[in-house]
Amino acid sequence: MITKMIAPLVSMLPATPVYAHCDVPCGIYDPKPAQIAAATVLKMVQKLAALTPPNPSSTPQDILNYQNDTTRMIWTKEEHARKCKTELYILWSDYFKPEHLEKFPDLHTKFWTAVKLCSENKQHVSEESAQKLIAAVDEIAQMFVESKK
Amino acid sequence: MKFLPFGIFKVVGTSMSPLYTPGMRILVWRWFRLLKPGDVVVLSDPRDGRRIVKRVEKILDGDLEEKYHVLGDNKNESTDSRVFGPVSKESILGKVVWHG
Repeated sequence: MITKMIAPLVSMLPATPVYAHCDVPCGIYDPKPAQIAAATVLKMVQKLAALTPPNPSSTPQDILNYQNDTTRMIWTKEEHARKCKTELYILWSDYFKPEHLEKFPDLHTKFWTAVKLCSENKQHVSEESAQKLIAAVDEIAQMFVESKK
Repeated sequence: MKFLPFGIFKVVGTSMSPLYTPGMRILVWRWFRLLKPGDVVVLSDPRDGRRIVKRVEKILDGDLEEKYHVLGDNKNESTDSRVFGPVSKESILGKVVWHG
């Protein structure tokens, strides 16, 4: 009864906006960029391992080509390991909230392990490290999916 | 319009979904005395003074005054006390008593 009386009044009178807000627009968090970056690191490690190093019969051009290829692949590995770390930091600090810790008590350990693996992959050319990074990022992606349920 | 005991506001954003949806009008009682956990309040964001709507989750006893921990109902899409900390009674402008 009261509601019926209030409703037309409230809808007629001027209303001030009040924000049910969120600082960051929703829907922009996604673990995919980190997963793609981690997969790129592995790809570069595999491509580097498949290169034929210069040998005594190599021409100066062969050596230059080899140096160019390794530099580009190492640079790409470096860049994607950095990108992976940045993307993980965003998920860690901005997306995941204190209440997620109840559901995922090892959340901090998982992120810490993953960002440390990013550094390890910058320091070394190791397929094992790259695979570990992919697995660590996949675990975080899985947490992300479950947090949406 | 501050002298009035009530205010009419219009919800912008989704942090209080699904109960309070964008565009919904709410009636706010300014002359409230007590707040309890579960009350929905209009307050000013302690960082920039913008008027926001959140739900009181917990009342914290401080040395001088009570502080209120406020949260959005839609926790995945809300900036609230988890970011700006508990708020004082002064920053709470009113209690939501009716919604459209």
